[in-house]
Amino acid sequence: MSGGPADRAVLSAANISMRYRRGGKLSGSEQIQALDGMSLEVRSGEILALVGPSGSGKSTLARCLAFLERPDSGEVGFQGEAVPWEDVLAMRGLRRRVQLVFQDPARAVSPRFTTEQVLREPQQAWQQRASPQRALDWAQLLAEVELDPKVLPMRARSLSGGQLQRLVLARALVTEPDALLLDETFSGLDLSLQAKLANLVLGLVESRGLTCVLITHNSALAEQLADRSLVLSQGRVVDERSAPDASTGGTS
Amino acid sequence: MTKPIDSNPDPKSPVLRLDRLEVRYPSRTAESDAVVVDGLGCEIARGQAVGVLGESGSGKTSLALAVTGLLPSEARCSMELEILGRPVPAAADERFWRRLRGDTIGMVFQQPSLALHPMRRVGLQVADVLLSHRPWSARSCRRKVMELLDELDLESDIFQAFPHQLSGGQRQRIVLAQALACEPSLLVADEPTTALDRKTEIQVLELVRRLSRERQMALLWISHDPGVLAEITDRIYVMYAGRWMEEGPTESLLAEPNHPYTKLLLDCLPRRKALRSEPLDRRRLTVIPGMAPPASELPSGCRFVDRCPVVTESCGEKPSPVPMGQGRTWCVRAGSTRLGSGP
Amino acid sequence: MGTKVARKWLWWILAIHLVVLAAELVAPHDFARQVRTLSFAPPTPPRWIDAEGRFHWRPFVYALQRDPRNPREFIDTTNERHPIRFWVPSEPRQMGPMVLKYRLFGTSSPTGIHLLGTDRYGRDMFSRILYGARLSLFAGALAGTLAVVLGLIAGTLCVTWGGWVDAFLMRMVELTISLPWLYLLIGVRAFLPLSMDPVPVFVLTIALVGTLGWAVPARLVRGVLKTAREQDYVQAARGFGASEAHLLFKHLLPQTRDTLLTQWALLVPKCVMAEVTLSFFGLGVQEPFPSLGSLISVLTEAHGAMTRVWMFWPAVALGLAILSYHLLAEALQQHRDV
Repeated sequence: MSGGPADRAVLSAANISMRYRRGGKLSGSEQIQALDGMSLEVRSGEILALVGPSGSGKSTLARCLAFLERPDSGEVGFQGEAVPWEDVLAMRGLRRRVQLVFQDPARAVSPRFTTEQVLREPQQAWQQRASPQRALDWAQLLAEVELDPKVLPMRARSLSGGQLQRLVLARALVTEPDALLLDETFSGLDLSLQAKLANLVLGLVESRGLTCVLITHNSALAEQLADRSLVLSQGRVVDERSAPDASTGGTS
Repeated sequence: MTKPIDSNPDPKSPVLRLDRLEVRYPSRTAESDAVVVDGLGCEIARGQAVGVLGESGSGKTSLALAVTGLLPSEARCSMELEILGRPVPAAADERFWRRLRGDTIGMVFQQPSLALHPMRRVGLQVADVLLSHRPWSARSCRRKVMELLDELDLESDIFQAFPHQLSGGQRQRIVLAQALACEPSLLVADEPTTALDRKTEIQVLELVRRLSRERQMALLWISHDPGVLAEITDRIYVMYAGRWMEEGPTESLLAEPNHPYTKLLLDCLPRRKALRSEPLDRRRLTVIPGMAPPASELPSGCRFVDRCPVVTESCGEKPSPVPMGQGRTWCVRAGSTRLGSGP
Repeated sequence: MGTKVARKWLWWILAIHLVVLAAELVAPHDFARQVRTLSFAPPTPPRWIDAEGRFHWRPFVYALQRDPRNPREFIDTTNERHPIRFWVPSEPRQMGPMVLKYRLFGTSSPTGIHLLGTDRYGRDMFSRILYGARLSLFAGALAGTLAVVLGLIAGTLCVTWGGWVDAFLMRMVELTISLPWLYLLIGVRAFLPLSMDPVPVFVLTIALVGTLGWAVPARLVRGVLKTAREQDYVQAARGFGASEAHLLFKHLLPQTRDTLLTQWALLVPKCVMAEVTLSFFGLGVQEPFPSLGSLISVLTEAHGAMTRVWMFWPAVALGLAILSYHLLAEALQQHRDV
C-alpha cells in the first residue's frame, strides 16, 4: 500500500460546484448545473464506486478529480492538500499522479498514433522539462494488461475493443499513478469482456497498490468490485453505501 | 401503395419464419469466406418477443440486417424467409424491401442519435415515415404522430423539438416512434438501449413490451445483455460464432441454462448482492477462457469446442438440436450429463 | 492526403507551375521582343503537309507576310519551310542562377514560330502568356500561402491565448470578411506610385492580397483547434502532464492540416484573381512585363477582338489554372468528408 495511514484521503472534493452553459448567445443559453456542492473523499487503497444515472455529474466529477477541469467553486485536494490550480508546472506533475481512463477507448487515442506511439506518449509529453525517467519495460507493461506485443506497430484505432481498453489501461500505468479513475470503462461491453477487464483492474489495484475510483451506472458491477459506493444524483452525493465491516476502509 | 405482403393473412401463421440463414463475407486475405451466420432458423408468432443473446462478433447484427434486407452489397446471403406466411423471394430487390421496411417490419438500431437528422424537427421526422408508406394527408399524418408521441409517454410539444434538445431516452423514443408509426407486425431491434443508462433503459424496455402486447406486435430483440432480454422477451436464442447454442423460454433458459456456453456467459455477471470488504481476489468475476474463433477459421464441429470445459470426442461433429424441456440445445452432451460441473 | 484524385490534381498543378517557372526555356521568344511588321499576326500552326501537298516528317511553319491585296491580313510565305526543332540555340539569357543558350523549341531562322499569334506590337502571345502566367500564378500561390500561414498563426493565438486576444482577433476577422476586399485592394494600390519596378510591385501585390485573405482560414483553424482540444485523447495527454506546446504540436496542429490544405486550394485561385484584377486595371506590374491580367485587359480595346480570336488565349489559360485549383479543392474536401 502507499505508505501513509490507510484512511488518508488520496483525493478529496470539498463542496465543489460546476456549471456549463449550453447553447449560443443568440439562441438563448441555458445553464446546466453539473456539480452542485459535491463533497467526497477517496481513501488510500480503496475501490470507490460512483454510481448514478447519466446527467448526474459523474463525468464532470471525474475530470475535476483528474485535475483536468477546475470547478467553479470548492476545493479539490490531493493527499490532504488543496490543488494549486494557478501553478501550471505543479499541476502538470499532479495530473500524472491520477490517471483518468475514458469511457470510449477509441476516442481516447489519437487516430494518427500507432500503439507504440500511444504508449510512449506519457513519457514524451513529460520529458521535455523533467529529469529523465527510467526506461519503460515494454514486455512487463504489456504482460500486465495481457496485451500481445504484436499490436505495437499497428495503428491504435484499428485494434479491437478489448485490445483498446487494455491499451488505454496500460498507457495510464506508464506515469505510475497513485489513483486510477475509470469512467464507465466497463459499460456497453460484452459480458465476457467486461468480466475479463474487471478482473484485470482488480489485479492491477492489488499488484500496484492503486486507489481506484469506478464511475458507472451499473450498480451490480459496483457492488461486485467496490469497497464503498456513493450514489450521485443531480450533481450531489445522495447516498453512501459501504461494506458493514469496512470501518478501516482499506482492502485486506 | 400496394404492399408486397398483406398485413391481414392467416392469423395462425407466424409473423416471421426464418430457415437456413447463411451470411458470408468474401475475404481478401484468407482463402475461405468469413462465415458470419451459419444455418440459423427461428419462428416468431404474433405478439411474441424473441431475444437473441450473443457477444460482439457472434453475427447477431448480420442476422438483424438479413431479415430486414440491409446487408451490405458484398455480403453473400441465402435464406428461406417467410413474413406473415408469405415467402420473401430470394431475388427480392431493394424496392421490395423498402416497401416492407418501416411498414410491415419496424427497425431500431444502435445509437439513436445517429438515426435522426440533426436539423429537422423530430415530429416531422416521424411523419416522414408515414408519408412515405401511407396515402394520407399531411394533417392526418400529424394527428397520427401526436397519438404516437402520447402512446410513448412523450409530451406533445416534443413534436417541434430538434434532436439535440432531447435527452438520450427521449431520442430513443422518437426512433421507436418512427419504427412503430406504420404499426408493423414485427419490430427488429439491435441493441437500441446500450447507450442509455440503466433506469432509462428499463423504462424504454417496459414501454416496448407494453406496446407489443397491446398491438400484438412481434419482437426480435438482439442484445449482449441477459438483463435486457429478461425484461422484454418470452424466448431467447443464444448465439455464438454464427450458430445457435441454445434456445428456450426466457425464464428457464436464464435460470437453468443447458449449454456450457450459456452457463459460462451467465456466470460472467456480477453476483455479489451487497458490498463486502472481501479480499480483492474474491471479488473476481468468472471469465470464459480463450477467445471466440475468427469467422474464417471456424472449427468444423461445435463452435464452442475450443473453450468448452466439458468437451468430449464427439464434440468434433456438428451438433444437432436436442430437445430440453421447452427448448432445444445444440450440444451433443445435452441431457446426458450434468453440465457446468467442470471436468 | 489519401485520395488519388487530389494527388492527381496536385501533380497537374505542380506541372503547370514548373512549365511557367521555366518560361525562359519553354517560351520560343522573349516576352518583350517586338516585330512591328507582324502586328496582330494570327497563329502559325505546326504543319506536316506543305503547299504542294507533300508530307514531311518534321513539322514546320511558314513565315507570315502581309497580303498584298489586303494589307490588314496575313498570308503564308509558302516558298520556304521553317522546320521546328528542339533545343534551338539562341542568344544567352539569364534564368535564375543559370545562363541559357538554348530554347526548348523553335525555328532556326529568325522568322520564328507564333503558336498563339502576336499582339499589337508583334510580340509572341504564347511566350507572353507563359511569362504572364508565371507572375500571376506565383503571386497567387505565394499570397495564398501567406494568407493560410497568417490564418494558422491567428487561429492558434486565439485558442492558446483566449480571452481578449481571441475576442479581438475574431472581431478583426469579422471586419476583414465584411470589407469589400477587392475594392480595398484597388484603393490601397492606388495610394502608391503608379509606375514601380516589377519586383516591388510583385512583392507588394502578394503582401496585400495575402494579408487580406487571412480571415477565413483563421476562423476555421480556431474552430478546428477548439473542437480538437475537447477530444478525449487530447485530454488524456493533458493528464500525462503534457505541456501546452506538446499538445499544440503533437495533437492540435496536425488536425488543422486538411482544413489548411483545402483552404489553400480555395484561396490561391482567389489570390490569382486578385492579382489579375489589379493588373487588369493597370495597377499591377507595368509594361512590357506581362501578367495574365494585363494580357486580358487588351481585350477591352474593342477593335479587332472578334476578328483576332487568338487574343482570348490568356483568358483561357487563366480559366484553366483557376479550374485546376478548384478541382483540387473539391477533391480535398471530399476526402475530408469521408
